[in-house]
Amino acid sequence: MSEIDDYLVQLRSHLGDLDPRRAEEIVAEARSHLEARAAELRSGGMPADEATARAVGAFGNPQQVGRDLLRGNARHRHPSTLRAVAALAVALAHVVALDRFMNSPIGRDHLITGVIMPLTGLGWGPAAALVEYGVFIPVSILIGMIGGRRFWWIAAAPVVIGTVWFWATVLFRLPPHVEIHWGARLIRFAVHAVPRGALLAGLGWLGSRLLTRRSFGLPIAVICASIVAALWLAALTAGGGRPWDHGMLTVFVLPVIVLLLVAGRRDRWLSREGLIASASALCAIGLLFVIAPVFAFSGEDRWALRDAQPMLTVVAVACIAGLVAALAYYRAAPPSPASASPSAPSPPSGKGG
Amino acid sequence: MRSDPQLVKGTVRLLVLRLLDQEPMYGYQMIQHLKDRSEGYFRLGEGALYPLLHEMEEQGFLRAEWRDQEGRPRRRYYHLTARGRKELARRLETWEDFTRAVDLVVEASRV
Repeated sequence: MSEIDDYLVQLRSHLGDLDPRRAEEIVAEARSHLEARAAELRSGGMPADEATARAVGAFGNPQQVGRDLLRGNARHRHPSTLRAVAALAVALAHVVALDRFMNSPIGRDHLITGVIMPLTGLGWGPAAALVEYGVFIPVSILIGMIGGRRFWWIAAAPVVIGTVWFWATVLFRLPPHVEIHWGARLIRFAVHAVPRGALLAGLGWLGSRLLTRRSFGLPIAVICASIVAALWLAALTAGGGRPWDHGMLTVFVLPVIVLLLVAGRRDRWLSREGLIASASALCAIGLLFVIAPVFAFSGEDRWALRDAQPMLTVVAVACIAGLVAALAYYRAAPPSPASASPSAPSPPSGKGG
Repeated sequence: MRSDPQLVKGTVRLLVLRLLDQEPMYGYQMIQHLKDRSEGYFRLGEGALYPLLHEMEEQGFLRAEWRDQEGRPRRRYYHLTARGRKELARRLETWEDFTRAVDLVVEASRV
């Protein structure tokens, strides 16, 4: 291996947080530079080894150059915060789901009842089997395999937490009069939690990939919010909705989404406008979820809303506060470049150069 | 000529934008041009230029494309975008104001 190759391997090892394709492109660009520089030095009469060594030396310490390159390529980064939050979101979703005896608040049943069955016209049984065995499991496995290459731990986290939670539930939390065979629970866990874990991990991975592209950040956030809203409303209006579960999920997931947006702004894959629009949309949807059950339920179901009242109140207050904060952030606009101090020279970049 | 690293750091974006306003260039070529045209004053750290170029690319000021070279490794050329031209105009105006203000103070002190 030549000295240039050796240097580039070191440089590449410091670009681990970048999209692999982008990292390869950067390495190729550095190679092109180093080879051109070494060739120029050789043409001036310098021995080949010395020319290569000098070209590599002039490029800088690979660790420092790698750090600067990470800063300069924020849009292509998979920030560790984002990955951690994505894993947390998946894990929390599963903790909530498993706590309800492995019936996710937005589960297959609600999805099929509210969205798929009316579209396909199939009856309950065939539609469920078709969706679960024909779509969910293959897609879960496929996405899990693709995502697992680099983000295997996102897929692993919910499964590990789910397993621990499952055994904790079986061994310590079941009241004595509840008799559900461990084998049956284990099979339910294997059939439901693992594919769903893989699906959620895959979606988390896909989201993190797409959201790191700043130009796609806002549309993707809007699409995700729309899908969640559609599923949630479908679940609520299809008669399978349980307001308490929706409130629980909101309380668990909402802070995670807020963290995700804040992390996105800090790591610069989400623009200021994108952050404001996403946060506002999120809060508006949250308010909708609080208001929708009042109109969606009637009779005894509506009466059951009483149980969820404290949770819904918390969600409503959080959403209103979020909307006010987004509005305040929007009004506190930073000065435009044109109105910047005219006496200042071009500001130092602080990022090499 | 002695160069001040802080001054160089503060003006390098303007210089890169100005260079690319004339023709698309690859990184190494920019370093050479800056050194030659400034008679050796601007000697950019070679590894430090690329993070800056990538950042400006992310900001939409530059666009990059790979070009094949006959018998040589392909190179990544940077072009100035319309947004980059506006940024260049803004930075040039700011720079002219700055140098005029500095001149006024320095010349007044000499008198």
